[in-house]
Amino acid sequence: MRRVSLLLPLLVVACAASFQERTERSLQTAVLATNAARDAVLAASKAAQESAVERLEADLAAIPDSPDRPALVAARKAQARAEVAEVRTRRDKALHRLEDAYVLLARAAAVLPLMEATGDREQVLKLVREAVAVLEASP
Amino acid sequence: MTLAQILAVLLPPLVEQAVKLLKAHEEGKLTDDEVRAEIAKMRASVVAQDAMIDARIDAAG
Repeated sequence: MRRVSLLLPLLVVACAASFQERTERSLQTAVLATNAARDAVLAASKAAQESAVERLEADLAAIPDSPDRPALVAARKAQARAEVAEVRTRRDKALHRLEDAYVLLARAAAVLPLMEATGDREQVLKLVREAVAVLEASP
Repeated sequence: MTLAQILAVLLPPLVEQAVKLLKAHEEGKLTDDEVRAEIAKMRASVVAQDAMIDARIDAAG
């Protein structure tokens, strides 16, 4: 009995370490998934904006020199800016959700070291789950 | 098996785990900073992307 009571605290430390490692892996995986989603959103918005600029450049090249040209160029540029603004609005909405996920993951990362001291494992897992839910709800 | 023998077997991995815990404790703050750094990277990418596109629109024509 005495042997068991001596070993018990050591086993508790081992179990806590194992749980913490698993939680850290979950956290790292969630951060990597969020990074991948962020990079995909940024790449898609860059491609969409570049496409708008390429169409603008092609259209402007096709406008012949004339007294009306400056006005036509200005109007076409305004149209391109409106297209780009629309892309940015969609992008920013997606990135805002990703930022929410990052904030939750940062909070989870911050409380993770305290987990062993307080034994409040659920707090970390709750934050990771919330971040994953935010990611899943992202467009 | 004596208690000394049990401890001789069990202690090294437990000490290793305890060291990992301490390292994880130290690295926790870093991870927090790292996660927040990803937000900063995201914002910087947006600013750079928008500036590049705006410059191309301004220069067009």
